[in-house]
Amino acid sequence: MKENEFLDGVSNIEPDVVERFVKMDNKLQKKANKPKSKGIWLRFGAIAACFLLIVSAVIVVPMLREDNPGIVTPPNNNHTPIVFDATVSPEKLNGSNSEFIVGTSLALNGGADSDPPAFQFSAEIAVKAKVVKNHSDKYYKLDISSEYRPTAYRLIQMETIEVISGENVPQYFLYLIPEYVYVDMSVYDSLLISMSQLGVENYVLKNGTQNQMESFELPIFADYQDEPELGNIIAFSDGIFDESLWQNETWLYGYQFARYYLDNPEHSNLVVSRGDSERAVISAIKNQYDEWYGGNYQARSVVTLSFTTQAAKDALEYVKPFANGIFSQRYEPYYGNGQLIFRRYINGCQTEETITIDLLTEEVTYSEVRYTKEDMVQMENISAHLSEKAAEYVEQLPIPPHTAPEGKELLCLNLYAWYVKVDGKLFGVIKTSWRYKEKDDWYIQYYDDSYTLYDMSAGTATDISRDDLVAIIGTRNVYMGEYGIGIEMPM
Amino acid sequence: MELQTKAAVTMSDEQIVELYWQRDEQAIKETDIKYKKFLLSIAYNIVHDTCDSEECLNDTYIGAWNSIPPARPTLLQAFLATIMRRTAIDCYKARKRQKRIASELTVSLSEVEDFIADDDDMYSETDAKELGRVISDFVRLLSDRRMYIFMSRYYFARQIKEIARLLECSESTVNKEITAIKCDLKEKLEKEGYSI
Repeated sequence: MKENEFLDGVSNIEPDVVERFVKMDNKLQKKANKPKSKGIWLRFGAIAACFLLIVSAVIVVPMLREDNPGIVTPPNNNHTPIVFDATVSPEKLNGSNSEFIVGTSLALNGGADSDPPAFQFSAEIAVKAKVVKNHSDKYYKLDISSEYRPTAYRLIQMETIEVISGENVPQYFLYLIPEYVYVDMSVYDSLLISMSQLGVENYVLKNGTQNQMESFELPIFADYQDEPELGNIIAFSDGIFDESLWQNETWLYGYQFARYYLDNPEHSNLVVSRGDSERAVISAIKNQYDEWYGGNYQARSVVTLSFTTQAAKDALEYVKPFANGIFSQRYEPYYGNGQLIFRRYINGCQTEETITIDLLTEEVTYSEVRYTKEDMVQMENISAHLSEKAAEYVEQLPIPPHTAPEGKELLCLNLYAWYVKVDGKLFGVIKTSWRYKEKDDWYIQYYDDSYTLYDMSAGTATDISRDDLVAIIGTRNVYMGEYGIGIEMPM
Repeated sequence: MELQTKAAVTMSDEQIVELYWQRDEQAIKETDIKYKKFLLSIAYNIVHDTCDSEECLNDTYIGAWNSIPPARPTLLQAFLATIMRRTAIDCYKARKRQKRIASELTVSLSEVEDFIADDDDMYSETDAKELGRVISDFVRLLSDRRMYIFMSRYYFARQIKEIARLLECSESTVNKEITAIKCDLKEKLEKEGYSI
């Protein structure tokens, strides 16, 4: 390959990739250029480390498993993982009794070396709201694209009292919040919340507690990038700022940092100070938007599905939840004119079939790979195999193929399954993945995985190397990084 | 109460794009206020010359003026970055022909010399687009972190030191990750039939 050819090839990298980079770059630049108060942060780190040590001592030690030397069963607390806690038996799925299982980890966020939460009140959709109902079940996203976000979520039903920023904001909505920071917010009179939009209608999530797939008619919102930043939820009691929300145990880590700003308002970049009234904070938020955008801030609109073209209406009918398999839904504001992207899940497992609707032109794009009714009949239920594998692992934790567990702690052990169709042939893949950390260092982690391929036309199941797997099905959902090396986390 | 402020009051991307659509030259001024620094940093990493960077900046503004409309970019910053990068690469190539090169791009290219050769054999624009598609597919599958490193280094020719600063890690860590990414990219390109 010639130098100029490589240069021009890189110049032709497609716009969505450049946009993804620019979004991340903006975030990192903002973070890197933010003034840091190291003194308080070091103290705060020490406090957090002590807290973790105490929690770990209480919970981890009794759970050590003697029959697996070198491997510690992950304890069940706010900073450590769960193994196989989300078994789903989606009876609604084509009448089958198949199961869908995914392991998860709560450990990847948090830890003494994690960044403190940010405190900017983001300019997304911002409302004054109150809690109508806390849903006690755990939910999981139908997403296996990232090894960094296998997080359990909780849903809180909220009622909008006042819209601070945003168009088409509904009276009721569901707020999706990672379980590791979930707290009961119903005790507060009102909350000022900044959210990004996650789903619009009929968003499908896995309910890990009830063992079923569920769709929701209320819109679902989450914090920006699904990671709540403390400053994006501000509680009020009797109309006055109530910092007790941030003092909750799950947010204590962040509160140590926030307290510095509350104690030193002259250095604060919060939109709130002690004793502020709700009205004053709303006004400060609006002023902040005006300062950032020169008085020209255009509020983000909640997407509604009022399509006019027949093609878009047909597509919506096609992707209706629980018909034609399940389609989950994703809103991508930064692609083209903004897009809704639907993906087919069969037996709770991901496929590569997608349907995309452009929100401006209503143009509908169907992926090259489509699954037919015949496929659905012929397909082996790999989620049942997933269940079997999970049962085996509960009895005996598997050993990672490329990573020596000595000197490391197991953070999470996940199981994923997905379908692939290549040249008309149907395959299923099960991936087992491990994530370890150095015993004394949260920042260095190790990733490992192994794969089993189910060839449905040959009726075979084979434990297969990554290279052989990629040669058959390509790289989708396959980790292509190097094994056995420490990875600095989290990103 | 002290509010967090930005250094300059700027228009939203949507408003700037609307000015381009209205053929209002204020669009260029607003673009300059908002993105000059960002765009100059892209150019400078590639051409490593202040005057050439300024020229590239002007060409980028002309490019944006000529392409909006019909384009209506949703993320103006990324749109401008793409134009700037292409402009700067053209400048880099011209300067390379004159043998006056000492840029971060030269250094970043030297890192991938095990799969590029330094000669000027011809290839078509279609080939470059196809290669762009292959590289895009490769980058889409990378983790956020590796995507960021790859794009920073090979698209924007940023210094390792700067990437490490933004990712809050050591330069050696970035170097290690670059090695891993290169290895995977090489494999991908070979699989796609590129001779390396």
